[in-house]
Amino acid sequence: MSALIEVRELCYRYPEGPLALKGVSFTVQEGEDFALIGPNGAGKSTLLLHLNGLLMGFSLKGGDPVLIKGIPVRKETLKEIRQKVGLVFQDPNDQLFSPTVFEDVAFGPLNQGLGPEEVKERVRKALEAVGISGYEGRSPHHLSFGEKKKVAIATVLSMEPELLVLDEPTANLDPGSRWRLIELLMTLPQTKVIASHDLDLVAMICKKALVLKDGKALAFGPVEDILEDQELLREAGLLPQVMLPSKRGLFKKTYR
Amino acid sequence: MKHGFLDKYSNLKSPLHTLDPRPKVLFTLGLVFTIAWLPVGLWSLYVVAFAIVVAEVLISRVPFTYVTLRATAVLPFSLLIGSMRLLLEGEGALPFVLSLSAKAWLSAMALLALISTTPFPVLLQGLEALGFPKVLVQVLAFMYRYIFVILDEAMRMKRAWDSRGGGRKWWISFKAMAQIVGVLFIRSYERSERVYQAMCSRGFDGRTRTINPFHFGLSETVFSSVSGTSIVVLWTLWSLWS
Repeated sequence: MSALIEVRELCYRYPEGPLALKGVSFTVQEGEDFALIGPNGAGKSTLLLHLNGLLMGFSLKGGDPVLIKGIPVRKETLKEIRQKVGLVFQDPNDQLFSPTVFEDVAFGPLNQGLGPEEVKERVRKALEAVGISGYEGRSPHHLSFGEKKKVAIATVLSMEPELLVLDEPTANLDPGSRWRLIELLMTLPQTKVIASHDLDLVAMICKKALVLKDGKALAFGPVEDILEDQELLREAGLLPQVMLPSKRGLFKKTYR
Repeated sequence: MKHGFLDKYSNLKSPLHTLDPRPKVLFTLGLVFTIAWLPVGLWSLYVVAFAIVVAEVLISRVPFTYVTLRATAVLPFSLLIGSMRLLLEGEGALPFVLSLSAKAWLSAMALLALISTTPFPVLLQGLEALGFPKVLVQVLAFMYRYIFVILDEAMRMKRAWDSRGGGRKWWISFKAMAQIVGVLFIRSYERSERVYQAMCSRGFDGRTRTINPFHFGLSETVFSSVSGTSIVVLWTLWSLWS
């Protein structure tokens, strides 16, 4: 049985730009939720775009840099790959482009070639899964930011992917909505890959983590080990450089 | 930020609101073309056309004053065209100017009655089901989806300008305005790339697929025959009176 995701020495150079990814490798097993953490501009989003073939990098070793369930991400396999990998973008206004919620959630299943009845059923189930049943006729513009995020996740769930890839799912959400979104993500059965610098989210959901900085992997391992390593987190720009003094000694936050 | 709806009153409940959009679109187009073809100065026919629109608006329960007043938005254009004719030909062109304005106003009312009884997304689906080119429907759909997103961005930039502009109005400073327009264009362009990526990642391959949710039932048949008759009556009266 091959791993759900296998990335081998992945490199990517933006057209006329510097190398955004400089040989990143990791594997993700089925059911092993995975976090991609790192500061802004580390290459997290670039890496995510490779997981369903929106970008195609190259491997230092030669051969296919990205494999999903043993299938190499190539032009010929894109259709199959995109069926398996659901990508949720950071800005729901980019993800939701249709006049109504129904049309947006139905977009993926329709492209999969499903019939009208099946599509309607998929839409109903997807909206139910994110807890906003009955929103079918609403216009995305008139939803709150948190609701837009949920619809964005539903647009991907309706395709019944095996892997959910989320780019900064909790960014720009107020603490209440952020918490509800984390709870929602915990109820979804799919294996998740989450790029974020929200360490609470990572600690709550993920089992393994990769720390990315300047397109290179700083560390890869179980989430507990990574989040305990304050030196590493500071180096990756995820903790403040100065320890805040408190009455109970030095400020220390543990993620358990 | 909150903006008005493009299709205000389209969520009311009335026999016209629950109707399949296709016969409504066809009726409205038929009525608008008939009005456009009516001869200059045949006022009694204009009154009949007005009566048809009034009947439609009354059935739809959309406030009558909203439709009549909002339709006056087209009058400046028709008056501008008419005033040129007046300048060239003198008073003899007056019936033409008045007819043109009346036609424009009546047509605008007919179209307002359509979009006030049909939510914009449903209208787009109706156009597509009628065989309207898919590319055009998509352009309209994206416009409807992103017009307020872009407007929000413009308003945020305007605020940022107001807070740093030293009291000058942003629309007086051409340089600032040009920059705002330019940045808006670049941002929209970048957004379009991200939207396209989002479409591709959900299996988009250049073909749009939609579900036709409409059903041509009894009420659609009744509406089609009544509205069709009204247009036929208009044509018959025209041939009788001229």
